[in-house]
Amino acid sequence: MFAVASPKDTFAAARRRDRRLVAGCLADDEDSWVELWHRYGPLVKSVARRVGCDAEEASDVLQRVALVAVQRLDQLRDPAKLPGWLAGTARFQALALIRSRRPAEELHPWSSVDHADPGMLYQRDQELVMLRRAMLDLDERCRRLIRSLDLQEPPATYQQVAESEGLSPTSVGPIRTRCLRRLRKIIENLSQASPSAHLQGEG
Amino acid sequence: MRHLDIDHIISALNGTATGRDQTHLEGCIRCQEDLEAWRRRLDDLRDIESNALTESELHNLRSMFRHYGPTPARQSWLARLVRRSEPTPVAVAARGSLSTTFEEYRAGPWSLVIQIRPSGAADLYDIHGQLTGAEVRGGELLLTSDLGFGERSQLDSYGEFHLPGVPAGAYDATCLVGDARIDLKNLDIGDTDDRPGT
Repeated sequence: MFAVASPKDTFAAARRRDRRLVAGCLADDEDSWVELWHRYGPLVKSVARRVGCDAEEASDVLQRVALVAVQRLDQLRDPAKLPGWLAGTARFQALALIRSRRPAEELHPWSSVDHADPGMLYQRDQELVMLRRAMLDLDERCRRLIRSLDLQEPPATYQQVAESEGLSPTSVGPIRTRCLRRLRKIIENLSQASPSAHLQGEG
Repeated sequence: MRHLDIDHIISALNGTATGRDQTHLEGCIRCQEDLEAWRRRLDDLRDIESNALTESELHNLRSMFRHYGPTPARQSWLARLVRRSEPTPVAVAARGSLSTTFEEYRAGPWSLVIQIRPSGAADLYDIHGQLTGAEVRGGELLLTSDLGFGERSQLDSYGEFHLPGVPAGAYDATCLVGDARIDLKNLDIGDTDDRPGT
């Protein structure tokens, strides 16, 4: 069995965690700063890659976004909006970096602000933020299982997961199913509770 | 009608759906949408997970926090504008992208001169400048905007810095030199006709 909080509680807990991280950073707590980037650094790089950055450029975008964050975290009106702000900042930085480094004809269509619907891009950023939050909201074992079986390329076998987790091979499948159900529930909760972010395809 | 549960959806994603599930999927729009939503979510999650930070990136982030964090023991100065040289509208029209702006700021014992010049690419500007007044070796200049732009440049032994390809907009600049911090608020880069309050 597993328990997932209500939509309102799930969303509120995610926002509280982000507020605590920002408050920690502003109090000069380096652990909060590192935790912030463990949580949302991959999101920042992912947004940069989607805009058209290569791996090295995405790493550059990460450093630039962090530079803005360290200078301006105290100006963030609602610290709970941190991940959305980071995603938007990453998009802006990535576009600026690409525009400054490549000739216009080589730019990815998404790299041109003229060709992108800002509302759609914002919505997309919010979806990625929600997925990241949902993944981080899972317990550690579920996260490991989903990473190994559903996200890793190539996926691990049930036998490999059973060995690494100390489970019987026959129990891996049911636990995986419970973890995926839990992930879906968290996503649905975050989607329902967030005023601006709704994922498509919710059944 | 009984719709496919998550484990059956995942089996379908993995290409291991049973014949019965496959038949159901072909006739059920709701399950097709559910399948597509999961495909997209897992693709997005896979993409995010594949961008985990490297040790080197984390090391750089730690260094950045220690250097620029909220409570560095620095003496702070707020720069104020003392002189601005900008092209007249006629000159802008005649000279186009060749127009250049110079601004001079004072902050305690420091003087900061900034040159803003169109880079050639639309809405991008090259920023050159020099900080003078005391020992400037090892210093650096940070430029950040509300929109999320952030860039930095090391000051050379003459206090000069260079930031190419800066998008038009309103910025804050910070010079960190030894134990001193010089803040310059609301530096406008780009079309001065659109600048609020001008």
